[in-house]
Formats: sequence, C-alpha cells, structure tokens
Amino acid sequence: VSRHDFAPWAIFWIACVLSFGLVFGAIGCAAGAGGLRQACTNADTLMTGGYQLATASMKDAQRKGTAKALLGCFEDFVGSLDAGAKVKEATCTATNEYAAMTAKVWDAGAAVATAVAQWKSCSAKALGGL
Amino acid sequence: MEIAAVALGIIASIVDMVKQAKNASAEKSAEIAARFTAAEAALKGAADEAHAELDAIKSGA
Repeated sequence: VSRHDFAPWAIFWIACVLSFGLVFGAIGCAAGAGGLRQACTNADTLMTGGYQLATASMKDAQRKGTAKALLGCFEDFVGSLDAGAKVKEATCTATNEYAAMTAKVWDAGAAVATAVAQWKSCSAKALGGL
Repeated sequence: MEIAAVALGIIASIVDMVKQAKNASAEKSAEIAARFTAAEAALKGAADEAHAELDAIKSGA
C-alpha cells in the first residue's frame, strides 16, 4: 500500500471515530443534564408535599387543641425535610453534574416518604398519650 | 481522493445531525428548567409556611 493510498483511508477512519465521539458525547451530555434537573424537580415536588402535609396537619391540630402535643413530631418532620432540602439545594445548584449527584437527589426525594411515615407514627403515639 | 471526499461528506452530515440534536435538546432543557424553577419556588413557599407555623406554635400563638 503506497503512502498515497493510505492517506484517504486514514482521513476516513479518523472521521468515523470523531463522528461517533461527537454523537455519543452530545447524547450523553443531554441525557445527563435532563436527568439531574428531573431528579431535582421530583425532589422539589415531594418535599413541597411534605411541608404542606406538615403545615396542614398542624393547623388542624391547633383547631383541635393538640398542637402542643405534636410539637416534637412536627419539629422532627420539618427538620428531616429541611435536611433533605439542603442536600437537594447543594446538589442542584452545582455547575458540574455526575450520575452520583443525580442518585443523591433521587434518594433525598425518596427520603420524604420515610419522613412522612415517621411523622404519622410519631403523631399517633403523641395523640395516644393524651 | 474519492474516499477522502466520502469521509468529508460523512463529517458534514454528522455535524449537521449533532447541530439538530443540540437544538432539540436546548428546547427540552428550557422546558425542564422552567419546570424546575416553578417547583423550587413552590418548595420555598411551602417550607417558609411550615417554619412560620412551627414558630407560631412554639411562641404559643
């Protein structure tokens, strides 16, 4: 194979490698960016629901005169949500993103369900002791 | 030389494909960003309300 024959093939293969790199790189970046944003939006929605549940429950407790008994549970519930919201905020405002960050935000969102279960169990115990 | 021309054609068409994908992805990203901003605002509002309620109960209001 002469040098003259080799050059076009070299250009051809370099073009192929660069093209695949460009396409898969672009697809990967787009998928990554959307993934973190979606995880953050999901966590926002779940945490908003948690705070709304806490507020509505306590407003109801105030009407029933049981708010003082539920204060400790309420503080714990809001504290758990605040902790999750801090993790979410720190991760979702980062300029660089990695798969581990997206997983962390999904976990923070999923932790809301645990906080709600704890709130329910805590408030049931507190009201049972009245 | 024909192979080089084909290679350049492939590069040109793939660059065009990437440009189109980037535009579509930018539109999708804008939509996701708008939803994210709205959800963040809702979260802040709900958190502030819960804290106000907590403070009110603590202060005996």
